[in-house]
Amino acid sequence: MISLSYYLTFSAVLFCVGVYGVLARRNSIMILVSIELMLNAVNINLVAFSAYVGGSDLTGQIFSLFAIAVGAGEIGVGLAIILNLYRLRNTINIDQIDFLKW
Amino acid sequence: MQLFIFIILAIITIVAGIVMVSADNIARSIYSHVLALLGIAGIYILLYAEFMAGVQVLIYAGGVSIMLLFALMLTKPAKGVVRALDHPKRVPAFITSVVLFGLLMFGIITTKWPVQAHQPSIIMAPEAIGKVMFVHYVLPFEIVSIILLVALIGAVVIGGKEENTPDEEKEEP
Repeated sequence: MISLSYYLTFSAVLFCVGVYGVLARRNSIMILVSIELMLNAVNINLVAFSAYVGGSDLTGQIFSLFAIAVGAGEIGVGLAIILNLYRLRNTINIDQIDFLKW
Repeated sequence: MQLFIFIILAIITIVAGIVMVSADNIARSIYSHVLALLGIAGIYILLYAEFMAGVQVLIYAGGVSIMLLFALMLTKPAKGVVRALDHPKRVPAFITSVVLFGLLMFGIITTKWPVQAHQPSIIMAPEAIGKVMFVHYVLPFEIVSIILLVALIGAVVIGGKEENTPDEEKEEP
């Protein structure tokens, strides 16, 4: 039987890898992919707590399913925004997309 | 045995994640993302959440990665730049993520988790999830379906403006 801390540590490592990806990348597709990795790390936490703490309670898994659905919607809209930006500006590098910055 | 499988899956997933955030090629990065997502699906099976593993493979490893590959095909990164995918300030990003990891580990180690006995039972089967979802969580389920519909329409509206393109490209050289 593995202890719960292993899963939490694993998920913390994945989350921090995702944070590094969000901060260190400048291609917006890569930033979206890193955000997906962070969402998945959080989902691992939810499922692990559902298995260990909740016993026969499945609320963690249900919550995680909703998080997956919202994440899928988010990545659809995000990619549409990225494609539109590429069509308008011919680049998807976030350090060149600065027309909302003043 | 369970620990052995967990360690193998965790190493695969974390190495794939590190390759994902450090690769120089978007396609390679997206493929290692797929590998990381499959590793996470294996972790779900290890946690007796078979339905979650199936949903993970179907939605993330299947759908989302195909969508990302399409976005990759429809755009192009900046050419002629060394490490064009990366921001110049990588060292502060690395320090930030290491510090965040230290804080998270501090929280994980110092907290006493109210852990119950693990129940590897049939109750985690998909039919139990279906019962819970359609008895207790019907309203959030419907709201999520509306959110997905709105996201679909929004993606079409944002991404599908074909006829405006030539004018706007003329305006902005």
